[in-house]
Amino acid sequence: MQNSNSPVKTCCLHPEGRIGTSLKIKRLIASTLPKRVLNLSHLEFPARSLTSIVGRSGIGKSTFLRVINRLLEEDPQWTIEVDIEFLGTPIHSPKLSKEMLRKCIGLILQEPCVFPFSVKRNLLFGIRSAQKLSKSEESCLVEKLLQNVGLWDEVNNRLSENAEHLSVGQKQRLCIARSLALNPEILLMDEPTSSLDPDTTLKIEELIQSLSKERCIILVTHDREQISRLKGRVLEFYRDNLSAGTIAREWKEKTLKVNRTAEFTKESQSFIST
Amino acid sequence: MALLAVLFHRFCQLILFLTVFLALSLFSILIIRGMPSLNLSFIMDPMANAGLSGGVRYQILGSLMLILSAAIFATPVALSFCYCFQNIPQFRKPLITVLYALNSVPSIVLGFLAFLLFAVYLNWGKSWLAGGLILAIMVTPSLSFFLIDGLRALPSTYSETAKSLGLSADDRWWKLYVPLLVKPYLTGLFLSLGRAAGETAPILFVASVFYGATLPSGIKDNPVLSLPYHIFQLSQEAYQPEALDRLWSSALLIVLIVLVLQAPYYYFFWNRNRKGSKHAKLKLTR
Amino acid sequence: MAISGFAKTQNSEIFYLFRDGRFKVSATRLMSIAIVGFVTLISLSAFIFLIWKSSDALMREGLSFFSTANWHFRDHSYGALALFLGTVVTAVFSLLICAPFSLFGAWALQNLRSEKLRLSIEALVTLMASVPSVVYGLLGILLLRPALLQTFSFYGMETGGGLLTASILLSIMILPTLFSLQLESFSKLSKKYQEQALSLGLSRTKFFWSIVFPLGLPAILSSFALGFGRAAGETVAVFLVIGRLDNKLPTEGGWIDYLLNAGQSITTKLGGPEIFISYQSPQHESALLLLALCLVLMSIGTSSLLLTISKGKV
Repeated sequence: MQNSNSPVKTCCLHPEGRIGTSLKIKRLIASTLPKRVLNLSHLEFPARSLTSIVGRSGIGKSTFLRVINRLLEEDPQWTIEVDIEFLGTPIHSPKLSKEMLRKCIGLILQEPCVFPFSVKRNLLFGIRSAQKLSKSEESCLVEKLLQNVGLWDEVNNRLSENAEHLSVGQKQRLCIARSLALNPEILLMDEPTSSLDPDTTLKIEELIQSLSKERCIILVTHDREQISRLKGRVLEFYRDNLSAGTIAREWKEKTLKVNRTAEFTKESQSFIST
Repeated sequence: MALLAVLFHRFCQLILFLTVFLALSLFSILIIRGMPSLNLSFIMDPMANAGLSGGVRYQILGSLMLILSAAIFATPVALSFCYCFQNIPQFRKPLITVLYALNSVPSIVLGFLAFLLFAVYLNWGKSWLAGGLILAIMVTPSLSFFLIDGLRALPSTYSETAKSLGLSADDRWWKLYVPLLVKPYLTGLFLSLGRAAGETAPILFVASVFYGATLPSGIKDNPVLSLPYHIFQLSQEAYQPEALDRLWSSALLIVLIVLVLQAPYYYFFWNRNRKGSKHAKLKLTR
Repeated sequence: MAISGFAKTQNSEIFYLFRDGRFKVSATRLMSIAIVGFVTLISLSAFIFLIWKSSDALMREGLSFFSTANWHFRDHSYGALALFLGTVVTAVFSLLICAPFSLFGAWALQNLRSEKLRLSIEALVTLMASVPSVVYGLLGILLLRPALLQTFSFYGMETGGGLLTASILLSIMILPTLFSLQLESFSKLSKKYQEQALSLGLSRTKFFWSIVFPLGLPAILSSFALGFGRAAGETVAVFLVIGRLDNKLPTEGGWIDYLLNAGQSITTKLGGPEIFISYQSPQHESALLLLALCLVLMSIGTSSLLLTISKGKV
């Protein structure tokens, strides 16, 4: 799907639309002295998919996300060796600057982080530093984005008000819309619904599901119900005695069902409360 | 034993009462002695008769010129210090040391050095610009600390979010931090300018005269009149009653100007119950 | 391949410092570093200038600069003992006068029951700090001097101006500083320990002397250091009331006479007319710069003392 009629000229326009593998992780080793935290290899995330990542606390799921958008390398405590390809280009290649990569990969945090500016300014914050849009293009984009995340009806008369007055659910949707403004190929989500109430959670899960038809979504979550509601792959991050660091494996279909006879690994029983 | 305890308590309260009485009488005397002669013509008229009559028009304008030029020079310097603090982590400690060092230099030494640099070495004579520059040096540490603390008060997730949206360090600086620093900047600026407006020692040798100047027309040999210097000189020679009246009014005027300039600071920080207590220390060292 | 041409960096103000584009820096960064570097360089050179120019006087006078009160610039002799003594004596006395007021006053304020009254008094005292020093000098000349003259003329005070006057004026000026810092310390300690102490049956007084004062000692001492630094560096207010008479020592007529009558301190010397004529004689200039250097070193000394006290124990 070419966005040729959209003024947003961002990054990721594959000539044939989004196909193939968005992210290919050949090797990912992240360590903070003295121990090795992540030790992943041979993971692929296809375009237009939804992958949920589960694992116990502290195993490195959030760290994993931050390696992908090159946020972690700025922290001097971490040593990172990676061989990751984003749309075929290694993420550390000189052709692809950090800023460019981050525009193609959005990150949504658990606590929605909204700046004390107006709603409109928050929304356009990322895209404004990428390209210059005319006033009409901007208002068009604002409306389209807010419609997309389901905020237009609630917020269209409050666009110039301070975004900090929104409810938590609205803020989170605003953050998602803000990232979507850049038309990213991949959306990284770090427990996006953990701080939300159940109704808002469902709404956002619907949003995520619909977004996964257009983009590659990598979602970290603790919520077992959420895993079962969302249709997509599930990766489990775990550690065993042999691996130095966290490794991943994919869950088979039957473990996703809310089924008493399902086989859970001993590991996963510790963090999934029945 | 209990008697001693009560006595001590009463003693402390007495001391507090005396202190409050002192502070109140200070302001009261200023108001009582200064109010009668403080009228519109006093502010608007130029000085006449070496201070025995007339007003303080050019003194006020001169002081305004000095603090305005101080603001113009101090702002980019303080912003630069803040930028380097934020974006170059290795410089943080040395930067803070430099700022503390600058802040602790006694004002008269600054004035003396300024005299040697501007009046003697550069041959500017007495110049308003020299006054502005030296006041800028006085104002910079305080302003920088306000900016740096403003930055530290921001949630750390702002940085992460802005980075994740693909903004470079400079983009983040101009589009995120600078708009958010406007409030600490203004508060800090007015507080520091208020202090600078009352300073005499730095401008004693390089910028101010007692009479003869109106508005400057160039840089060299272009001093200005200023309110603190006016009070300083007049108080050394004032024996006539008219001069005394004007002296009190000038003193009241300068206190009012300083308080008005510092009002935003008091408003914001008092409402939040002394949020930036680290700053309170820095401000009071001078 | 999948990334469009827009992938070029959009930050247009980047310079490439080396031909192969390895090391790049943006205009903002360059300018900030340049400005900060410039200011740091100026400060450093000013300090070096101070040391270099004053070394001449130090070598010429040697120790007599610090040990004799022989400041006669026309005869090219520069013994500055009276100046140092003046500065130290006024600062120490002002601390002595001010300390009990601020300490006990702050404690009484901390124990006030009404929150509103507390905040108002705190505001009042902080407002005192905003008053420019020249206004304090004015008050000193017009009010303090006559009052002291009336009180002490019996004891030998001649003009009402002198070291005692300066000390009293300085103590009023440093009061807000000491007050705020001590109040902050008392407030923190009270919040932490008061409930426990009082429910153990301690009276407030006992609470003060056995808990608040010992634990708050670092903060109190550092406030003293701050006050001393401020008092030693104050020029204009002291200038107007100290009388400005050179080479006075307590050995000549006793301490009472010394304190009650005119004197001179480092800051008032540096604030006086000698500065204007000093450029005619390099030795004079050098001597004055040496005085300035000593003042700066004193300020740095008290600041570092402050930092070590507050870092070491708090």
